[in-house]
Parts: sequence; C-alpha cells; structure tokens
Amino acid sequence: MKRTLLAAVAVLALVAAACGDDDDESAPDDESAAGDLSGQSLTVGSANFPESVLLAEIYAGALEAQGADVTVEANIGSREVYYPAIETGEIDLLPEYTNSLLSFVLRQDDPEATPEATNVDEQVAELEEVLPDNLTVLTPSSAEDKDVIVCNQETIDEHGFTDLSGLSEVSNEITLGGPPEFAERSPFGLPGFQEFYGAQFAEFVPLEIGPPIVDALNANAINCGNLFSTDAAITENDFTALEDDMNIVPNEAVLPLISGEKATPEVTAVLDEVSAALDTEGLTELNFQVQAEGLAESEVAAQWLADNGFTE
Amino acid sequence: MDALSGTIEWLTTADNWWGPAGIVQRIWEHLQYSLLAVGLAVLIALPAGLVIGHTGRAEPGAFALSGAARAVPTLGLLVLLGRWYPVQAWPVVIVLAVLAIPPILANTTAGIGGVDPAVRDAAQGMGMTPLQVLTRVEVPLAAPLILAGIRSALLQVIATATIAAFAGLGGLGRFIIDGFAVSDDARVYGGSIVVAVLALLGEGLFALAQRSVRPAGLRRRRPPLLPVAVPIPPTAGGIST
Amino acid sequence: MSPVLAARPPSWSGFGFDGNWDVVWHYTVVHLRITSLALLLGAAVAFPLGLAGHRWRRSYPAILGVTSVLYTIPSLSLLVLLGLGFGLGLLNDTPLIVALAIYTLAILVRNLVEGLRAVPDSVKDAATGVGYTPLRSLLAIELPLAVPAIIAGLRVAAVSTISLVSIGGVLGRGGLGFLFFEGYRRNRTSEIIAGIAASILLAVVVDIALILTRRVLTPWTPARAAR
Repeated sequence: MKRTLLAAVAVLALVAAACGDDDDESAPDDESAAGDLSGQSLTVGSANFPESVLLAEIYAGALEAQGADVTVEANIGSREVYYPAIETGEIDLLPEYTNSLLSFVLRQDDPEATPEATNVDEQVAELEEVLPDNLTVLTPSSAEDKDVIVCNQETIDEHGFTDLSGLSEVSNEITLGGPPEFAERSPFGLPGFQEFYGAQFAEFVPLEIGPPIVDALNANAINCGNLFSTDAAITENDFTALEDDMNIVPNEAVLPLISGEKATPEVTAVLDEVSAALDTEGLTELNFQVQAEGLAESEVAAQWLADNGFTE
Repeated sequence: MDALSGTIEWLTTADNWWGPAGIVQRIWEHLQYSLLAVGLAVLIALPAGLVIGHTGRAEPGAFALSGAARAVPTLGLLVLLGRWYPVQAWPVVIVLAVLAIPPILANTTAGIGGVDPAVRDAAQGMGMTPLQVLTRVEVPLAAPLILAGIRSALLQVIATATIAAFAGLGGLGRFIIDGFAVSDDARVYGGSIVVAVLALLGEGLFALAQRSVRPAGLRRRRPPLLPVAVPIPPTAGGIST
Repeated sequence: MSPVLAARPPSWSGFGFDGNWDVVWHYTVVHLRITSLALLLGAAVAFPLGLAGHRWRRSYPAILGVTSVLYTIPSLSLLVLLGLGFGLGLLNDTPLIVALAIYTLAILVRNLVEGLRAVPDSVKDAATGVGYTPLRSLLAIELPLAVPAIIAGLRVAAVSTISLVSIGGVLGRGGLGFLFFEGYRRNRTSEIIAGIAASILLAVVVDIALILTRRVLTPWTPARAAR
C-alpha cells in the first residue's frame, strides 16, 4: 500500500519533471544542473557513528537544496539493524561502504560467503548482482574509510611492530578492543586474524568503535583497537595505525545505497555530484570537526555543502 | 516460530555452556557483579535503615533519598563512569549498588519504624536497652519486610547487571549485546532467558528465607502490615510479608 | 537553512553546556512523553488486573507471579523481542513504551491490591449497611481510600520508568538516553552529565507532582503519616 503510493508519487514527479519545464517550480537556490526535486520525498538513514551521520546529512542537504522533501533518521544502529529497514522501504537512502555492504549482503544468504571483488569497480559490479531488486547503489566516491588497527604508544614502545604481521607475532600478549561483531567476522575480525595471520589474542574486549576504544587505549585497558582510518582521534592521541601488509582490509569506498524507486535521474545526478566532491582527505577533515571540535554533524554538513556549491 | 527453535537449540548446545565465553562463565561473572553490588548496598542501607527506623529521625529523608537514588539513570551513570574508568568492574558494581539501595533502605526503615509502638513500649517496660529492643524485638518483627527489600533489590540488580556488557565487561549481558550486534536472535533470547531464570531462582531462594524468619507468632493470616497513608515500599514477586 | 533542516531535533554542538539547553529541553520533553504513555498503558492494564486480583483472591498469586516474571526480562531483550519478534519495528518509540509499561505492572498491580485490601472491614460493612452495591462501594469508598497506596505505586513506577527510558539510547532513541549514548560516542562528557542531571530532575519533578496529586485527591489524610 505504502509502496504503491510512493511509486505513484515518483511517477508523478517524473511526469511533472518531464512536461513541467515551463511551470516555475524550481527551488529558489537551484544552482546545480541536477534538476528540480520538488514532489519527491526521501527518508535518509544512517548508522550509529558520526561519519555515517555526516554523510547522511550531506546527502539529505544536497537533495533538499534541490527541493526534495527529506527526512533524516540518524543513528539507527549497526547494519544488522538498519539494513532490514531499507529493504522494506522504511528508509530510502543510506550512505554505505563498498566492502562492508557487499560482505553483509552476501552473508544474508550464505553466512560463510566472502566477496570476490578485489577493487572498487568489481565491488560495485558484485553489489549490483547481489542486492535485492528494489535496491541499488550509485557511483562510488573516491573517499574511503577503512577499518584500521591502532595501538597506543606504550604498546608500540614495548613491542615495536608497525604492521599487522608484527602485531600477530606477539598477539598472545595483546589485549585487543573492537566492536562485538569483530569477534565473529572474517577476514577483518578474530577468525580472520587467526586464519590469515595465525594470530590468537590474549583477550578481546568488545567496545564500540570510536571514543570508547580511544578511552580504553588511553587508559591502557587495551593495547590495540579497531578504529576507522578517518578518525581524528588517531593523530590526536598519538596512536599508531598499523599497516595492513597482508591486505585483509578491503576497499571501503563511500557510496549511496538507495531504493530503486527513489533513484530518479534527478536524485541520482545530485548524489553523483556529492560523491564526486567527496574525498578521503576531506572526509577526515569533516570527522575532525565533529569529533575534535565537537560541532554537530548537521552543522558541519551544512558548511561543507555551502563550501562546495550545493547550497547558497 | 524460528526464533524459538533457534533459541532452544542455542540453549541446548553443550559448547555454548562451557569455555571462557560460555554461559556458565557468564553466569558466574553476572553473579559476581550482582552479589557484590547487593552486598555493598546492604552494607550501606541496612545499618542506615535500622538506625533511622529505630530512632524515627530523618525518616522522610530516608524515603526521599531512596526516591532520589531510584531516579538515577543506571545506564547513564555507567556510561559516565565508563568514560573515566574504561573496562573496569567497579563502576558497574557501584552503579548497581545505587540501584539496590532504595528498596533496602525504604523497606528497612519502614519495617523497623512500622513496628507497633505498643510492642516497643512493652519491650522497654521489660527492661530492654534500646539496642536490645532493636535486635530482639524490632528486627525479628521487621525481618520479612527487610528481606523483601533485599529480595527486590537482588531481582532488579540481576535483571540490570546486563548493562556491564556496555562497558566491555562480561556477564550475561554479553549474549544480549553481542547477539544483537550480529543479529543472532537465538543468542539474545537465550541470554535473556538465562538472566530471567537466574533472577527467579534468586527470588525463590529468598521467598523460602522470608518464610523461615517470620516469628512464630505472626505466622497466621496476616492483617495489613502498615497504615495505608505510609507509602508501601515496593517489593516484587509473591508477597509473604 | 531550509525549513526542513530547521525542523530536525536540535543537535549538541561543542564540548560545553552553552547553547545546548534547547537540546536538553527537547529530549526531556520526548522523555516525558514516553514515560507518560508507558505509565498510562501500564495503569490501563494494571487496573483491571488489580481489581481481578482483589475480587478473586485465588488469582492474585498467579497475577503477581506473571508480572514478576515479566519484570525479570532484561530491558534490551524485551525491546528486541517487541521490535523484531513482534514486528513493532525499531525506528519508533512503541516497543520502548510497551516494554516500559510491562515493567510497571508488577508494582502497580501489587499496590492497587494491597491498597484495596487495607480498607478496614468496618468501613466496607458500613457501606453495605447504608445500601451501597459492591460496585458503588468500590468506586465511592474503597478506591478513594486506596488512592495513597495507588499513588505510592505510581510514584515508584514513574521514577523507575524515567530511569529505564534511557535504554532506548542503544537504538538511537530513548529521550534523554539519546544524550548518554551520543555523548559516549562523540566524546562529549558534558552531554552525558546533562542527560543524567535532566533525568534525575525530571524524576524529582514528577515525584513531587504525584505527591501533590495525592494531597489533592485525599484531603482527609494528614500530610505526614502519624508514626
């Protein structure tokens, strides 16, 4: 019922866009050539970490600037929680990361499955194959945010390793922190570390990625922890990000996951422009503003959108 | 229902019970947090309740304090302490103790304070010192209510000790949090069932203890213990006061 | 800013308290809303249950037993059960409200029944003597006399509920609980403290409001119980 209604709205919007050029319906700050989105509505969701909220706010702001009616549902939870919501149409659009999304979708059917793709293009292709019919991904950005293992200064001073192989050699003396999912994930998780690096950690402490892990590292309650590569805390606290010499950390390019119905040409064009304007360095800087300077994601996003010509 | 069969399977798989992350280990951790917390709360609230109930001073204050302590959001306090002292057990114990103090303090105060003044007079008339009045008369009479308070505290603490998992610690909350993180519903439900059973076992043991300490003279069908105008201290479960 | 962006809940900015009081206020209101709905729902269910437990004595232990068992279910599990298992969804407040209502049952039912039981037989006999039907006696005599006990139960239920609402923070909801988790994840201790303080304040205010309500409803009771 809701779906038919949404489909009808989408069709009407397309029809209106197609034959409504002479009607003056464009939003006042219509700067890009993406076209008018009034009449289209989307719900943008995000995962429960700052960068995801940032990206969601950026998508939302860019679409809104073109006249779309946008609702943001931030901080829904982990992928296990929010993915069903986009599958069923409760949400329409999410910022995603190529490898994480691909792994997750593959495992829905086969818990042991792993992606075959080895680079971003292959990842996108594989995604298009395995995503349900009602969902699609759009052009990925060059911005990437990979998982990374970082260690505090005491641990590096004591053991002196710089990459994951080095870490694995002394793993039985290391207490590792990571999200609860890490305990069961492969390749980037405890089972993966065991399989690819032969590592068995002394202890695993389940903590959320972000400040909880940072706090624990600073208190030396854990030696090393799972953070994200664009996290400002790494440089702020003098943590050492370990090199992934065995390449167990796959590419994680940022890209929009969107319901097929909502991916109208206008929406797609706007989101493609956003993806093109984002890069890893820029994303790290945005993260810094939220995490280190404590600004709200919506503010930082709004500023970025203005600086990059998406809004006035 | 899929979740039901998955849960039963999880509960009946021997591997899940043993080992460093098994159910037995988690039960043990869970009990440690719970018993330490309730123990700490008893250490604080029981003497306080005895004194306040006996002397009658600051009685409204005791109830007000209980109310205020009940208002502290347990999870919020844990998150706060966890920021300053990450991955340590004692913040959990303290936070759970704060949760446990109100029922114990309120019930002890009301129990001692609610003893019929006539009985107290009679005891004093017999020549008992205040301390003897307290220990020989008031405590035995108030014992069921006091125990009911500790019982209520234990129930709440066992059910809430799952929050230790948020601080990266152990306990049965691990199954709930971890299971939730990887969408393993069987684990979430299984862990919850174990917590519920544990809490109910505690309840059962206490019910027996309460029955056995009721003074012989009061073992008939009891009239209401307190005048209606006094807030009835909350106790959970089958009542045997 | 466009009107839609402006209508979103205010976000915490910076590391201090300045300029964030509107955020605290917003989530306090949400918190109060969830609490009120949970209490109303709980009371609506507890009332008939309590009356049944009073009227049919044999059923009372069973009713208390069931509500006790429900009370032991850990909050996060109940939330997941209601949200995913019962299909209420996790993107709204309904599973939280229902879960909280379930937790209030144990105390509300118990206090209602104990309150009714505490009405002296002499009073009930007098009512019958004057010609009151059992129903009228219940409504006009017994319930009003049970009000202090009922309100006592409501106070405890209200304060406990206010404390429990914050569990919703795990899922990005939960009124002031959102501030705990946000502050935890965003490295903002001030946000956590503000959430805790507001939660306690809210509980105290609600508690006082209920005490005043009791005084209004039972003018015949002295403000302090005689010892």
